[in-house]
Amino acid sequence: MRAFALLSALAFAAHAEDATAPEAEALRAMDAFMAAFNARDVEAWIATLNFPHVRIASGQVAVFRDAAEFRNNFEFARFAEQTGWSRSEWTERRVIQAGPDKVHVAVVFTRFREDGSVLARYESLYVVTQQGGHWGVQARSSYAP
Amino acid sequence: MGLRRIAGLVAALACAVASANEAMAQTTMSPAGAAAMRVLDEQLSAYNASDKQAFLITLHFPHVRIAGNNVRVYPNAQSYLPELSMKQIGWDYARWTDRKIVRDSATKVHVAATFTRFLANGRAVDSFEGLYIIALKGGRWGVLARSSYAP
Repeated sequence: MRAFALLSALAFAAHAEDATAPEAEALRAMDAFMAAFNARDVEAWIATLNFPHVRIASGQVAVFRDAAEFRNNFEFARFAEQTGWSRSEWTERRVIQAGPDKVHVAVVFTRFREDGSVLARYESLYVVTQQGGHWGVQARSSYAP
Repeated sequence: MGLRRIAGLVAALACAVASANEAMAQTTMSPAGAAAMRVLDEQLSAYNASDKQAFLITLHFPHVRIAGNNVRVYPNAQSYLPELSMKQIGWDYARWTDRKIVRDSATKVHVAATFTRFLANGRAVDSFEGLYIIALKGGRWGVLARSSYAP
């Protein structure tokens, strides 16, 4: 009985450790990022980022120094109208490297149309960091246009 | 068969497998992947030679470096030069001890790499993982951004 209790305690401790691991924090931040993006909620989306935020795509490096700069450079309605996008989801996520305050995640994300058909699928790399206790997406290098 | 002979055979087999894997990786690597690896080789050669100009040539600007909880964006080579330290204190040479292409396309390659610094006697001093974003811009491959676990 004592052995069972000890094993249970160890299992609980291991689980608790997993839950607080940087990888888990980074993936949670990315879940929140995607939820906010799909909800077209720019403030919630900004809350999932760390600044300065860097986006590398199409050979260009875009650096957003703060939330205000980011807010002024993205509009969900225009994005949806131009691309036919309705929602996105993570199709694949793979932690490449991880440290106490930074996790590198290789992802595949899929964009869907309103009718559920696939609009596009892209690979990307996310650098997720912890700044002042806040885990957020610091940089992305995407193969999307 | 003695234990020493078995150990020797195992070591030889391991070397052969490693060589075969490396050869296979080289033959299956895309032209973009090979170009990205060449840039990383040139960067490391410049680092080992403490040649700042040669090091800068391996970069693209604006260049982004994420390390030690900081994001630094260098608009041009001149802005990066004052922060480029190559003093070989406490180490003699550096090598890529691991490099894997995470994803490549015709114009951009993501490489996960481990960089190790050694003493002249071959003893490793320190080792850091990092992620390198290498891009083809203006007909030249260069490191556009890196996110390192180095301080």
